[in-house]
Amino acid sequence: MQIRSPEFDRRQVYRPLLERLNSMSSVRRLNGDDLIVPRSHDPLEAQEPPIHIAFAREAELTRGIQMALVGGIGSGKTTEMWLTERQLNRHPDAVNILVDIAEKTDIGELNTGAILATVGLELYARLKKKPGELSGEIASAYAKLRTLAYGKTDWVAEENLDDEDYGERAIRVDVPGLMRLRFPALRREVKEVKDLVDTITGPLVDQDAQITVLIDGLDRLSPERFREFTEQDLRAIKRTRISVVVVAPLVLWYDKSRFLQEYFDVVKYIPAVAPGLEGRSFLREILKRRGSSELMEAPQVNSIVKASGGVIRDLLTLVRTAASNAYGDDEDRVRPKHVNAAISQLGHRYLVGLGVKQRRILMRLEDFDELPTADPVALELLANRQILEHFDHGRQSFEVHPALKKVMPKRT
Amino acid sequence: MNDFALTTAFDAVRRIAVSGAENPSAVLLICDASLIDRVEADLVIEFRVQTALDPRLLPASQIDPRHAAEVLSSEHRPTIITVKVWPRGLFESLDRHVVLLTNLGPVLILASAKIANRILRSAPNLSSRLADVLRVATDPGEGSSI
Repeated sequence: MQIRSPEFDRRQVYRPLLERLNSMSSVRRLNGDDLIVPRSHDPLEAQEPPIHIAFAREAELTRGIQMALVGGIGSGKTTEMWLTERQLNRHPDAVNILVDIAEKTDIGELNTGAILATVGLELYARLKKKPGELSGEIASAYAKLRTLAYGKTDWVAEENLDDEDYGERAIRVDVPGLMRLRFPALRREVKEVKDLVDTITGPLVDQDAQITVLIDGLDRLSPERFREFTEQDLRAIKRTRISVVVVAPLVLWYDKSRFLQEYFDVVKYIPAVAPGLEGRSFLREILKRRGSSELMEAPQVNSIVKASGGVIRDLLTLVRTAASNAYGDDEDRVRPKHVNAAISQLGHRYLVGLGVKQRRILMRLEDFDELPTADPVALELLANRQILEHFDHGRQSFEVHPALKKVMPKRT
Repeated sequence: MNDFALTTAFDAVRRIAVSGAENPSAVLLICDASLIDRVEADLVIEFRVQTALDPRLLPASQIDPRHAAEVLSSEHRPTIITVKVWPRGLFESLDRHVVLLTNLGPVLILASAKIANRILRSAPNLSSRLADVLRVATDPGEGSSI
Protein backbone atom coordinates (compact mmCIF):
# COMPACT_ATOMS: atom_id res chain seq x y z
CA MET A 1 0.00 0.00 0.00
CA GLN A 2 1.31 3.44 -0.94
CA ILE A 3 1.52 5.98 1.86
CA ARG A 4 1.12 9.54 0.71
CA SER A 5 1.85 12.76 2.44
CA PRO A 6 -1.27 14.87 3.02
CA GLU A 7 0.07 17.42 0.49
CA PHE A 8 0.26 14.85 -2.32
CA ASP A 9 -1.64 16.15 -5.30
CA ARG A 10 -2.05 13.64 -8.14
CA ARG A 11 -2.94 16.42 -10.57
CA GLN A 12 0.69 17.55 -10.46
CA VAL A 13 1.73 14.10 -11.70
CA TYR A 14 -0.63 14.03 -14.69
CA ARG A 15 -1.07 17.68 -15.62
CA PRO A 16 2.37 18.26 -17.23
CA LEU A 17 2.02 15.11 -19.35
CA LEU A 18 -1.54 15.91 -20.45
CA GLU A 19 -0.51 19.44 -21.39
CA ARG A 20 2.36 18.13 -23.50
CA LEU A 21 0.03 15.69 -25.27
CA ASN A 22 -2.68 18.19 -26.10
CA SER A 23 -3.68 17.77 -29.74
CA MET A 24 -5.05 21.32 -29.67
CA SER A 25 -1.68 22.86 -28.82
CA SER A 26 -0.20 25.06 -31.50
CA VAL A 27 3.02 23.95 -33.20
CA ARG A 28 4.73 27.16 -32.07
CA ARG A 29 4.04 26.28 -28.45
CA LEU A 30 5.26 22.72 -28.98
CA ASN A 31 8.48 24.03 -30.47
CA GLY A 32 8.94 26.46 -27.60
CA ASP A 33 8.81 23.50 -25.25
CA ASP A 34 11.18 21.52 -27.52
CA LEU A 35 8.58 18.78 -28.07
CA ILE A 36 8.93 18.40 -31.84
CA VAL A 37 10.89 15.44 -33.19
CA PRO A 38 11.76 16.16 -36.85
CA ARG A 39 11.92 13.21 -39.24
CA SER A 40 15.41 12.22 -40.35
CA HIS A 41 14.47 11.66 -44.02
CA ASP A 42 11.66 11.77 -46.56
CA PRO A 43 9.05 9.18 -45.48
CA LEU A 44 8.92 7.75 -49.03
CA GLU A 45 12.64 7.79 -49.82
CA ALA A 46 15.15 7.03 -47.08
CA GLN A 47 17.97 8.57 -49.18
CA GLU A 48 16.17 11.88 -49.56
CA PRO A 49 16.31 14.67 -46.93
CA PRO A 50 13.29 15.29 -44.67
CA ILE A 51 10.41 17.12 -46.33
CA HIS A 52 11.01 20.45 -44.58
CA ILE A 53 14.67 20.48 -45.61
CA ALA A 54 13.78 19.60 -49.22
CA PHE A 55 11.11 22.31 -49.38
CA ALA A 56 13.44 24.93 -47.90
CA ARG A 57 16.26 24.04 -50.31
CA GLU A 58 13.98 24.26 -53.33
CA ALA A 59 12.56 27.61 -52.21
CA GLU A 60 16.05 28.98 -51.59
CA LEU A 61 17.41 27.91 -54.95
CA THR A 62 14.43 28.26 -57.32
CA ARG A 63 12.43 31.42 -56.80
CA GLY A 64 8.81 31.19 -57.86
CA ILE A 65 8.69 27.42 -57.32
CA GLN A 66 5.34 25.94 -56.24
CA MET A 67 5.24 22.91 -53.96
CA ALA A 68 2.46 20.85 -52.41
CA LEU A 69 2.29 18.69 -49.29
CA VAL A 70 -0.30 15.96 -48.78
CA GLY A 71 -0.96 13.62 -45.89
CA GLY A 72 -3.76 12.12 -43.85
CA ILE A 73 -5.39 13.81 -40.86
CA GLY A 74 -2.94 14.04 -37.96
CA SER A 75 0.07 12.93 -39.99
CA GLY A 76 2.14 16.03 -39.13
CA LYS A 77 1.58 18.33 -42.12
CA THR A 78 1.36 21.51 -40.04
CA THR A 79 4.54 20.51 -38.22
CA GLU A 80 6.38 20.06 -41.55
CA MET A 81 5.14 23.46 -42.75
CA TRP A 82 6.30 25.06 -39.55
CA LEU A 83 9.70 23.33 -39.73
CA THR A 84 10.06 24.54 -43.34
CA GLU A 85 9.42 28.11 -42.26
CA ARG A 86 11.91 27.75 -39.42
CA GLN A 87 14.53 26.38 -41.84
CA LEU A 88 13.94 29.26 -44.28
CA ASN A 89 14.21 31.80 -41.48
CA ARG A 90 17.93 31.08 -41.04
CA HIS A 91 18.62 33.61 -43.82
CA PRO A 92 18.11 37.15 -42.52
CA ASP A 93 17.01 38.51 -45.92
CA ALA A 94 14.31 35.84 -46.34
CA VAL A 95 10.68 36.92 -46.13
CA ASN A 96 8.63 33.91 -45.05
CA ILE A 97 4.95 33.87 -44.34
CA LEU A 98 3.09 30.91 -42.86
CA VAL A 99 -0.70 31.22 -42.74
CA ASP A 100 -3.51 28.82 -42.03
CA ILE A 101 -6.17 30.04 -44.41
CA ALA A 102 -8.92 28.92 -41.98
CA GLU A 103 -7.63 31.49 -39.50
CA LYS A 104 -8.08 34.26 -42.05
CA THR A 105 -11.38 33.49 -43.71
CA ASP A 106 -14.32 31.09 -43.93
CA ILE A 107 -12.95 28.56 -46.38
CA GLY A 108 -16.46 27.32 -47.06
CA GLU A 109 -17.29 30.61 -48.75
CA LEU A 110 -14.02 31.47 -50.38
CA ASN A 111 -13.92 33.23 -53.76
CA THR A 112 -11.09 32.92 -56.23
CA GLY A 113 -8.61 35.72 -55.63
CA ALA A 114 -9.05 35.47 -51.85
CA ILE A 115 -5.93 33.38 -51.28
CA LEU A 116 -3.90 35.72 -53.45
CA ALA A 117 -5.34 38.68 -51.52
CA THR A 118 -4.35 37.02 -48.22
CA VAL A 119 -0.79 36.69 -49.54
CA GLY A 120 -0.76 40.38 -50.50
CA LEU A 121 -2.12 41.53 -47.14
CA GLU A 122 0.37 39.40 -45.21
CA LEU A 123 3.28 40.67 -47.29
CA TYR A 124 2.17 44.24 -46.74
CA ALA A 125 2.08 43.65 -42.97
CA ARG A 126 5.63 42.31 -43.21
CA LEU A 127 6.80 45.28 -45.31
CA LYS A 128 5.35 47.69 -42.78
CA LYS A 129 7.51 46.24 -40.05
CA LYS A 130 10.66 47.04 -42.04
CA PRO A 131 12.36 50.38 -41.43
CA GLY A 132 11.67 53.14 -43.95
CA GLU A 133 8.54 54.69 -45.32
CA LEU A 134 6.33 52.90 -47.82
CA SER A 135 5.51 54.70 -51.05
CA GLY A 136 2.06 56.14 -51.63
CA GLU A 137 1.62 53.70 -54.51
CA ILE A 138 2.05 50.74 -52.15
CA ALA A 139 -0.27 52.22 -49.52
CA SER A 140 -2.89 52.81 -52.19
CA ALA A 141 -2.50 49.25 -53.55
CA TYR A 142 -2.94 47.96 -50.00
CA ALA A 143 -6.09 50.03 -49.47
CA LYS A 144 -7.57 48.71 -52.74
CA LEU A 145 -6.60 45.15 -51.84
CA ARG A 146 -8.25 45.46 -48.44
CA THR A 147 -11.44 46.66 -50.07
CA LEU A 148 -11.36 43.82 -52.56
CA ALA A 149 -10.70 41.30 -49.79
CA TYR A 150 -13.17 42.46 -47.18
CA GLY A 151 -15.60 44.53 -49.24
CA LYS A 152 -16.92 47.94 -48.24
CA THR A 153 -20.19 49.69 -47.53
CA ASP A 154 -21.09 52.89 -49.32
CA TRP A 155 -24.13 55.01 -48.53
CA VAL A 156 -25.76 56.12 -51.74
CA ALA A 157 -28.86 58.31 -51.83
CA GLU A 158 -31.80 56.42 -53.29
CA GLU A 159 -32.44 58.95 -56.02
CA ASN A 160 -28.88 58.46 -57.23
CA LEU A 161 -29.40 54.74 -57.68
CA ASP A 162 -29.96 54.86 -61.37
CA ASP A 163 -29.31 52.15 -63.88
CA GLU A 164 -27.35 54.69 -65.90
CA ASP A 165 -24.73 54.76 -63.16
CA TYR A 166 -23.92 51.18 -63.93
CA GLY A 167 -23.57 51.66 -67.66
CA GLU A 168 -25.27 49.66 -70.31
CA ARG A 169 -26.41 46.19 -69.36
CA ALA A 170 -24.40 43.54 -71.17
CA ILE A 171 -24.99 39.89 -71.93
CA ARG A 172 -22.05 37.52 -71.76
CA VAL A 173 -21.36 35.70 -74.99
CA ASP A 174 -18.67 33.00 -75.00
CA VAL A 175 -17.07 32.08 -78.32
CA PRO A 176 -15.22 28.79 -77.92
CA GLY A 177 -11.65 28.74 -79.22
CA LEU A 178 -9.96 26.06 -81.26
CA MET A 179 -7.67 24.96 -78.47
CA ARG A 180 -8.51 23.85 -74.98
CA LEU A 181 -6.23 25.70 -72.56
CA ARG A 182 -4.18 23.54 -70.24
CA PHE A 183 -5.36 25.72 -67.37
CA PRO A 184 -8.30 28.15 -67.65
CA ALA A 185 -7.61 31.86 -68.16
CA LEU A 186 -7.20 34.02 -65.06
CA ARG A 187 -10.46 35.60 -63.98
CA ARG A 188 -10.80 39.38 -63.96
CA GLU A 189 -10.89 39.65 -60.15
CA VAL A 190 -7.79 37.45 -59.84
CA LYS A 191 -5.91 39.62 -62.35
CA GLU A 192 -6.93 42.70 -60.41
CA VAL A 193 -5.68 41.25 -57.12
CA LYS A 194 -2.48 40.06 -58.79
CA ASP A 195 -1.64 43.57 -60.03
CA LEU A 196 -2.09 44.95 -56.51
CA VAL A 197 0.03 42.17 -55.00
CA ASP A 198 2.72 42.92 -57.59
CA THR A 199 2.77 46.56 -56.49
CA ILE A 200 3.01 45.62 -52.81
CA THR A 201 5.80 43.11 -53.37
CA GLY A 202 7.67 45.43 -55.75
CA PRO A 203 10.24 46.70 -53.19
CA LEU A 204 10.96 43.17 -51.96
CA VAL A 205 11.43 41.86 -55.49
CA ASP A 206 13.66 44.85 -56.30
CA GLN A 207 15.80 44.03 -53.28
CA ASP A 208 16.11 40.48 -54.63
CA ALA A 209 14.56 39.16 -51.43
CA GLN A 210 13.73 35.49 -51.13
CA ILE A 211 9.96 35.38 -50.58
CA THR A 212 8.20 32.17 -49.58
CA VAL A 213 4.53 31.85 -48.70
CA LEU A 214 3.42 28.69 -46.87
CA ILE A 215 -0.34 28.14 -46.89
CA ASP A 216 -1.80 25.57 -44.52
CA GLY A 217 -5.45 24.48 -44.37
CA LEU A 218 -6.17 24.18 -48.11
CA ASP A 219 -6.51 20.41 -47.65
CA ARG A 220 -9.90 21.15 -46.10
CA LEU A 221 -11.18 22.39 -49.45
CA SER A 222 -12.91 19.88 -51.71
CA PRO A 223 -10.58 18.59 -54.46
CA GLU A 224 -12.59 20.56 -57.05
CA ARG A 225 -12.30 23.82 -55.11
CA PHE A 226 -8.60 23.25 -54.43
CA ARG A 227 -8.05 22.76 -58.15
CA GLU A 228 -9.94 25.96 -58.91
CA PHE A 229 -7.83 28.00 -56.45
CA THR A 230 -4.64 26.46 -57.77
CA GLU A 231 -5.54 27.29 -61.36
CA GLN A 232 -6.42 30.86 -60.43
CA ASP A 233 -4.71 32.17 -57.29
CA LEU A 234 -1.58 30.05 -57.31
CA ARG A 235 -1.10 30.34 -61.04
CA ALA A 236 -1.27 34.12 -60.74
CA ILE A 237 1.57 33.99 -58.17
CA LYS A 238 3.56 31.70 -60.46
CA ARG A 239 4.26 34.67 -62.69
CA THR A 240 5.96 36.46 -59.79
CA ARG A 241 9.14 35.42 -57.95
CA ILE A 242 7.27 34.33 -54.84
CA SER A 243 7.72 30.67 -53.91
CA VAL A 244 4.74 28.81 -52.51
CA VAL A 245 4.19 25.70 -50.38
CA VAL A 246 0.59 24.57 -49.87
CA VAL A 247 -1.11 21.74 -48.03
CA ALA A 248 -3.36 19.94 -50.54
CA PRO A 249 -6.27 17.49 -50.13
CA LEU A 250 -5.06 13.91 -49.74
CA VAL A 251 -7.62 12.59 -52.24
CA LEU A 252 -5.73 14.35 -55.05
CA TRP A 253 -2.65 12.24 -54.31
CA TYR A 254 -4.59 9.23 -55.58
CA ASP A 255 -6.42 11.08 -58.35
CA LYS A 256 -6.05 9.54 -61.78
CA SER A 257 -5.75 12.92 -63.49
CA ARG A 258 -2.47 13.45 -61.59
CA PHE A 259 -3.34 17.10 -61.22
CA LEU A 260 -0.96 17.63 -58.27
CA GLN A 261 2.00 16.12 -60.06
CA GLU A 262 1.13 17.97 -63.26
CA TYR A 263 0.67 21.44 -61.76
CA PHE A 264 3.15 21.59 -58.87
CA ASP A 265 6.92 21.53 -59.28
CA VAL A 266 7.40 19.40 -56.18
CA VAL A 267 4.84 17.21 -54.36
CA LYS A 268 5.62 15.54 -51.04
CA TYR A 269 3.52 12.99 -49.20
CA ILE A 270 3.45 12.05 -45.52
CA PRO A 271 2.06 8.55 -45.02
CA ALA A 272 1.54 7.01 -41.59
CA VAL A 273 4.86 6.12 -39.97
CA ALA A 274 5.91 2.64 -41.15
CA PRO A 275 5.66 -0.08 -38.48
CA GLY A 276 9.30 -1.25 -38.96
CA LEU A 277 12.10 -0.87 -36.44
CA GLU A 278 13.00 2.67 -37.51
CA GLY A 279 9.38 3.83 -37.50
CA ARG A 280 8.72 2.40 -34.05
CA SER A 281 11.80 4.03 -32.65
CA PHE A 282 10.75 7.41 -34.14
CA LEU A 283 7.32 7.09 -32.48
CA ARG A 284 8.87 6.07 -29.16
CA GLU A 285 11.15 9.11 -29.36
CA ILE A 286 8.09 11.36 -29.78
CA LEU A 287 6.50 9.85 -26.68
CA LYS A 288 9.74 10.10 -24.73
CA ARG A 289 10.03 13.80 -25.64
CA ARG A 290 6.48 14.36 -24.37
CA GLY A 291 7.31 12.65 -21.07
CA SER A 292 5.25 9.46 -21.32
CA SER A 293 8.03 7.32 -19.81
CA GLU A 294 7.50 9.14 -16.52
CA LEU A 295 4.08 7.52 -16.20
CA MET A 296 4.18 4.24 -18.09
CA GLU A 297 6.40 1.19 -18.59
CA ALA A 298 7.98 0.16 -21.89
CA PRO A 299 5.39 -2.56 -22.68
CA GLN A 300 2.58 0.01 -22.42
CA VAL A 301 4.50 2.42 -24.65
CA ASN A 302 5.01 -0.38 -27.19
CA SER A 303 1.30 -1.28 -27.16
CA ILE A 304 0.41 2.33 -27.85
CA VAL A 305 2.99 2.68 -30.64
CA LYS A 306 1.56 -0.43 -32.32
CA ALA A 307 -2.08 0.57 -31.90
CA SER A 308 -1.46 4.07 -33.28
CA GLY A 309 -0.76 2.62 -36.73
CA GLY A 310 1.95 5.26 -37.07
CA VAL A 311 -0.52 8.17 -37.03
CA ILE A 312 1.16 10.74 -34.84
CA ARG A 313 -2.01 12.39 -33.57
CA ASP A 314 -3.46 8.98 -32.65
CA LEU A 315 -0.25 8.14 -30.83
CA LEU A 316 -0.68 11.23 -28.66
CA THR A 317 -4.43 10.69 -28.24
CA LEU A 318 -3.85 7.14 -27.01
CA VAL A 319 -1.35 8.22 -24.35
CA ARG A 320 -3.57 11.09 -23.32
CA THR A 321 -6.66 8.90 -22.98
CA ALA A 322 -4.71 6.20 -21.13
CA ALA A 323 -3.28 8.79 -18.71
CA SER A 324 -6.69 10.32 -18.25
CA ASN A 325 -8.15 6.89 -17.51
CA ALA A 326 -5.42 6.21 -14.93
CA TYR A 327 -6.04 9.57 -13.27
CA GLY A 328 -9.77 8.81 -13.18
CA ASP A 329 -8.93 5.55 -11.39
CA ASP A 330 -6.79 7.39 -8.83
CA GLU A 331 -3.69 5.50 -9.94
CA ASP A 332 -0.20 6.98 -9.93
CA ARG A 333 0.89 5.18 -13.10
CA VAL A 334 -0.73 4.09 -16.34
CA ARG A 335 -1.58 0.37 -16.23
CA PRO A 336 -2.21 -2.05 -19.14
CA LYS A 337 -5.97 -1.86 -18.55
CA HIS A 338 -5.86 1.92 -19.09
CA VAL A 339 -3.96 1.48 -22.36
CA ASN A 340 -6.36 -1.22 -23.56
CA ALA A 341 -9.33 0.99 -22.76
CA ALA A 342 -7.71 3.89 -24.67
CA ILE A 343 -7.15 1.66 -27.73
CA SER A 344 -10.75 0.50 -27.58
CA GLN A 345 -11.93 4.12 -27.29
CA LEU A 346 -9.98 5.16 -30.38
CA GLY A 347 -11.08 2.07 -32.29
CA HIS A 348 -14.73 2.82 -31.62
CA ARG A 349 -14.32 6.34 -32.95
CA TYR A 350 -13.16 4.84 -36.25
CA LEU A 351 -15.92 2.24 -36.18
CA VAL A 352 -18.67 4.85 -36.08
CA GLY A 353 -20.60 5.16 -39.31
CA LEU A 354 -18.98 2.29 -41.16
CA GLY A 355 -21.61 0.92 -43.52
CA VAL A 356 -21.75 -2.30 -45.52
CA LYS A 357 -19.66 -0.87 -48.39
CA GLN A 358 -16.92 0.33 -46.06
CA ARG A 359 -16.81 -2.95 -44.13
CA ARG A 360 -16.57 -4.91 -47.36
CA ILE A 361 -13.52 -2.87 -48.40
CA LEU A 362 -11.91 -3.33 -44.99
CA MET A 363 -12.51 -7.10 -45.12
CA ARG A 364 -11.10 -7.31 -48.65
CA LEU A 365 -7.98 -5.55 -47.45
CA GLU A 366 -7.71 -7.85 -44.45
CA ASP A 367 -8.31 -11.08 -46.36
CA PHE A 368 -6.70 -10.45 -49.74
CA ASP A 369 -4.45 -7.45 -49.13
CA GLU A 370 -6.32 -5.59 -51.87
CA LEU A 371 -7.47 -1.98 -51.90
CA PRO A 372 -9.37 -0.47 -54.85
CA THR A 373 -7.78 3.00 -54.66
CA ALA A 374 -9.95 4.27 -57.52
CA ASP A 375 -13.08 3.59 -55.45
CA PRO A 376 -14.31 6.82 -53.74
CA VAL A 377 -15.37 4.83 -50.65
CA ALA A 378 -11.86 3.40 -50.31
CA LEU A 379 -10.41 6.89 -50.74
CA GLU A 380 -12.66 8.20 -47.99
CA LEU A 381 -11.47 5.41 -45.69
CA LEU A 382 -7.89 6.43 -46.48
CA ALA A 383 -8.58 10.14 -45.96
CA ASN A 384 -10.31 9.45 -42.64
CA ARG A 385 -7.52 7.07 -41.55
CA GLN A 386 -9.62 3.95 -41.13
CA ILE A 387 -7.17 2.58 -43.70
CA LEU A 388 -3.50 3.54 -43.43
CA GLU A 389 -0.86 3.62 -46.10
CA HIS A 390 2.74 2.84 -45.21
CA PHE A 391 6.00 3.07 -47.11
CA ASP A 392 8.88 1.01 -45.82
CA HIS A 393 12.12 1.23 -47.84
CA GLY A 394 10.10 2.23 -50.88
CA ARG A 395 7.58 -0.62 -50.47
CA GLN A 396 3.95 0.52 -50.28
CA SER A 397 1.40 -1.29 -48.13
CA PHE A 398 -2.08 -0.65 -46.75
CA GLU A 399 -3.57 -1.82 -43.47
CA VAL A 400 -6.76 -1.39 -41.49
CA HIS A 401 -6.04 0.99 -38.60
CA PRO A 402 -4.86 -1.34 -35.77
CA ALA A 403 -7.16 0.29 -33.18
CA LEU A 404 -10.15 -0.17 -35.51
CA LYS A 405 -9.12 -3.75 -36.26
CA LYS A 406 -9.22 -4.47 -32.56
CA VAL A 407 -12.87 -3.48 -32.15
CA MET A 408 -14.28 -4.62 -35.48
CA PRO A 409 -17.03 -7.18 -34.94
CA LYS A 410 -15.70 -10.71 -35.28
CA ARG A 411 -16.84 -12.58 -38.35
CA THR A 412 -18.48 -15.97 -37.93
CA MET B 1 -22.31 4.16 -29.52
CA ASN B 2 -22.72 2.12 -26.36
CA ASP B 3 -19.11 1.02 -26.59
CA PHE B 4 -17.66 4.36 -25.54
CA ALA B 5 -16.44 4.59 -21.96
CA LEU B 6 -18.93 5.66 -19.34
CA THR B 7 -18.32 8.74 -17.27
CA THR B 8 -20.16 11.17 -15.01
CA ALA B 9 -20.39 14.95 -15.10
CA PHE B 10 -18.02 14.97 -12.12
CA ASP B 11 -15.44 12.80 -13.88
CA ALA B 12 -15.74 14.61 -17.23
CA VAL B 13 -14.97 17.97 -15.62
CA ARG B 14 -12.25 16.42 -13.48
CA ARG B 15 -10.50 15.16 -16.64
CA ILE B 16 -10.63 18.64 -18.11
CA ALA B 17 -9.53 20.30 -14.90
CA VAL B 18 -6.43 18.12 -14.60
CA SER B 19 -5.13 19.24 -17.98
CA GLY B 20 -5.92 22.86 -17.18
CA ALA B 21 -9.36 24.47 -17.42
CA GLU B 22 -7.85 27.29 -19.53
CA ASN B 23 -6.12 25.01 -22.04
CA PRO B 24 -7.76 24.23 -25.37
CA SER B 25 -9.43 20.84 -25.61
CA ALA B 26 -12.58 19.38 -27.11
CA VAL B 27 -14.62 16.51 -25.68
CA LEU B 28 -17.71 14.85 -27.14
CA LEU B 29 -20.15 13.75 -24.45
CA ILE B 30 -22.97 11.38 -25.36
CA CYS B 31 -26.14 11.11 -23.32
CA ASP B 32 -29.77 10.19 -23.67
CA ALA B 33 -31.54 12.93 -25.66
CA SER B 34 -34.10 13.40 -22.89
CA LEU B 35 -31.35 14.00 -20.31
CA ILE B 36 -29.32 16.66 -22.12
CA ASP B 37 -30.62 19.54 -19.98
CA ARG B 38 -29.97 17.65 -16.77
CA VAL B 39 -26.43 16.69 -17.80
CA GLU B 40 -25.75 20.27 -18.86
CA ALA B 41 -26.89 21.51 -15.44
CA ASP B 42 -24.66 18.92 -13.73
CA LEU B 43 -21.68 20.00 -15.82
CA VAL B 44 -22.23 23.66 -14.92
CA ILE B 45 -22.24 22.80 -11.22
CA GLU B 46 -19.11 20.67 -11.58
CA PHE B 47 -17.27 23.46 -13.40
CA ARG B 48 -18.20 25.93 -10.67
CA VAL B 49 -17.16 23.58 -7.88
CA GLN B 50 -14.01 22.08 -9.41
CA THR B 51 -12.62 25.01 -11.37
CA ALA B 52 -14.41 28.07 -9.96
CA LEU B 53 -15.30 28.94 -13.56
CA ASP B 54 -18.73 29.67 -14.96
CA PRO B 55 -18.98 27.86 -18.29
CA ARG B 56 -20.56 29.50 -21.30
CA LEU B 57 -23.68 27.68 -22.51
CA LEU B 58 -24.22 27.61 -26.26
CA PRO B 59 -27.15 25.74 -27.79
CA ALA B 60 -25.98 24.58 -31.23
CA SER B 61 -29.25 25.78 -32.73
CA GLN B 62 -28.25 29.36 -31.89
CA ILE B 63 -24.86 29.28 -33.59
CA ASP B 64 -24.83 30.56 -37.15
CA PRO B 65 -22.50 28.17 -39.02
CA ARG B 66 -21.16 31.11 -41.05
CA HIS B 67 -19.95 32.76 -37.84
CA ALA B 68 -19.27 29.67 -35.72
CA ALA B 69 -15.57 30.39 -35.51
CA GLU B 70 -16.07 33.99 -34.34
CA VAL B 71 -18.75 32.99 -31.82
CA LEU B 72 -16.58 30.31 -30.29
CA SER B 73 -13.40 32.35 -30.21
CA SER B 74 -15.08 35.36 -28.63
CA GLU B 75 -14.55 33.96 -25.10
CA HIS B 76 -11.86 31.90 -23.46
CA ARG B 77 -13.80 30.22 -20.63
CA PRO B 78 -15.05 26.60 -20.87
CA THR B 79 -17.92 26.24 -23.33
CA ILE B 80 -20.70 23.66 -23.36
CA ILE B 81 -22.40 23.24 -26.75
CA THR B 82 -25.67 21.33 -26.50
CA VAL B 83 -26.86 19.70 -29.71
CA LYS B 84 -30.51 18.66 -29.56
CA VAL B 85 -31.25 18.66 -33.27
CA TRP B 86 -28.75 18.38 -36.10
CA PRO B 87 -27.51 21.91 -36.82
CA ARG B 88 -27.14 22.08 -40.57
CA GLY B 89 -23.65 23.16 -41.58
CA LEU B 90 -22.34 23.82 -38.07
CA PHE B 91 -20.05 20.84 -37.65
CA GLU B 92 -18.89 20.98 -41.25
CA SER B 93 -17.88 24.59 -40.55
CA LEU B 94 -16.15 23.67 -37.28
CA ASP B 95 -14.37 20.89 -39.11
CA ARG B 96 -12.97 23.32 -41.68
CA HIS B 97 -11.94 25.82 -39.03
CA VAL B 98 -10.79 23.39 -36.36
CA VAL B 99 -7.51 25.31 -36.10
CA LEU B 100 -9.43 28.12 -34.38
CA LEU B 101 -10.27 25.80 -31.48
CA THR B 102 -6.58 25.89 -30.61
CA ASN B 103 -7.10 29.47 -29.40
CA LEU B 104 -9.91 28.60 -27.00
CA GLY B 105 -10.47 27.04 -23.62
CA PRO B 106 -12.15 23.65 -23.26
CA VAL B 107 -15.21 22.90 -25.42
CA LEU B 108 -17.67 20.18 -24.40
CA ILE B 109 -20.10 19.03 -27.06
CA LEU B 110 -23.14 17.39 -25.50
CA ALA B 111 -25.29 15.31 -27.86
CA SER B 112 -27.47 12.24 -28.19
CA ALA B 113 -25.95 9.04 -29.56
CA LYS B 114 -27.53 9.61 -32.97
CA ILE B 115 -26.16 13.12 -33.29
CA ALA B 116 -22.75 12.18 -31.87
CA ASN B 117 -22.56 9.50 -34.51
CA ARG B 118 -23.23 12.10 -37.20
CA ILE B 119 -20.63 14.50 -35.76
CA LEU B 120 -17.94 11.82 -35.82
CA ARG B 121 -18.81 10.92 -39.40
CA SER B 122 -19.16 14.40 -40.86
CA ALA B 123 -16.30 16.17 -39.11
CA PRO B 124 -13.15 14.00 -39.42
CA ASN B 125 -10.73 16.84 -38.62
CA LEU B 126 -12.62 17.81 -35.50
CA SER B 127 -13.01 14.14 -34.51
CA SER B 128 -9.29 13.54 -34.72
CA ARG B 129 -8.67 16.42 -32.32
CA LEU B 130 -11.20 15.33 -29.70
CA ALA B 131 -9.47 14.59 -26.44
CA ASP B 132 -12.22 12.10 -25.57
CA VAL B 133 -15.56 10.65 -26.62
CA LEU B 134 -17.46 9.57 -23.52
CA ARG B 135 -20.96 8.47 -22.55
CA VAL B 136 -22.37 10.33 -19.58
CA ALA B 137 -24.21 8.38 -16.92
CA THR B 138 -26.75 10.26 -14.87
CA ASP B 139 -26.85 7.69 -12.10
CA PRO B 140 -23.85 8.48 -9.83
CA GLY B 141 -23.20 4.77 -9.23
CA GLU B 142 -23.02 4.03 -12.94
CA GLY B 143 -20.02 6.04 -14.14
CA SER B 144 -16.39 5.04 -14.07
CA SER B 145 -13.39 6.14 -16.02
CA ILE B 146 -12.93 2.96 -18.05
